[in-house]
Amino acid sequence: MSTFLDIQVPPEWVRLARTGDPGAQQRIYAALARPVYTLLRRLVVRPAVCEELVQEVFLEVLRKLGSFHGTGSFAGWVRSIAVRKALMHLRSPWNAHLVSDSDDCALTDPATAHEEGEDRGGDLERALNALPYLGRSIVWLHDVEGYTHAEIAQLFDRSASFSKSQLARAHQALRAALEPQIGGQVCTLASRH
Amino acid sequence: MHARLETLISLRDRQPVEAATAAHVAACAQCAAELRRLTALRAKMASLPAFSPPELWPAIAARRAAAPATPPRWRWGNIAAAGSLAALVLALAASFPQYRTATPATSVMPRTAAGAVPLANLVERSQRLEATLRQLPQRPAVAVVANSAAIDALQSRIQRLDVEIAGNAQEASDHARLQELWSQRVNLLNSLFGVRYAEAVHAGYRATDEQGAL
Repeated sequence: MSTFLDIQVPPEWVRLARTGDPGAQQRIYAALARPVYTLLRRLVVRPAVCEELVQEVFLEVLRKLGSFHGTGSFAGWVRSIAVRKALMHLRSPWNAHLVSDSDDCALTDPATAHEEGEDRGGDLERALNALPYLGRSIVWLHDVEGYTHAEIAQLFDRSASFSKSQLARAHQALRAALEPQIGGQVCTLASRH
Repeated sequence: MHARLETLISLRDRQPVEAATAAHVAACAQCAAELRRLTALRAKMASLPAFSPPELWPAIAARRAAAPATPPRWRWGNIAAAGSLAALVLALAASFPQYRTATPATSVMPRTAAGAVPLANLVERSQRLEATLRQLPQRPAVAVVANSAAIDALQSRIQRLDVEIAGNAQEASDHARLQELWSQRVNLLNSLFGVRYAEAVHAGYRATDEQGAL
């Protein structure tokens, strides 16, 4: 599950950071930079863009510390900001010229996907990176970060059934990429039930 | 007839599915294998190694230090999003009791002989709008991206205006310019309230007349 759930940021750090204490602000960054960057890499993929987004995320975190009331997990609050920044980037016109738009609003970046998968030597990484951004985001947010379909629906301003069907389509694509010899038989599992 | 992928994912996630489907999956070797594969894939994704970010703190600290002197860049896409959203929700927002109190129609605002709203009234109106905004519930943990973009854009614009207002107030040289800036600030706060209120209502918030009387 999400690595964010394991991160405990002491409330004292948050209190001090809110007063402008640079040491506390840096400690918060140090505690959360890795999971934030990892999440962004999973959703956005491109390292250079992710580095820019990490900066945007922490600038917003520090700017809006006053609006965190301590009612939930601080790391979870930071994660929600990171997810929002990532999705805003992926849906922005600036990003649209980098990737192609297909019938399901999918945005794919095969070149980057290939590089990333090879760099880390994993078929799964390569398959994930090759997914359209919508499917990749939904798979990661649902299966790893533990978002519910209702929460994903809110993020994308769509219905929960949209989230479910996109998740299934993304899994179908993952299966085809990871097990090409049986990938084409998926439809036999899509009959009546 | 085998279970659909969507149904198998629901089973994997312990979500409710039809009893007959669950029974079929339990008895069908092919569906059971697919369910195990989906479960294993989720575990494999969760155990993928983390990425190590380069050292970005110095850049963040520098940008934060420079922020007051460098107003945020205004993005035309965000202006359009904010404008259209604000227009859509303004009628809805007008039903909020505190909003009605805080934002009398421009036509009933007192005006100078030249037809401008006096500066003191604009400042007061701005303060009342901010107080009204504070009464809205905290933003939902999971927000619609379009709303967030509009809210970010409006807040950035207000911050930029505040920098300009602070500069003009210190110089105290151009009263008309200051009046114009405060007028823009009121308009932006109106729009911000509209978007925030619509978002809150969408998340189940209901304002009552009792709240309006506070």
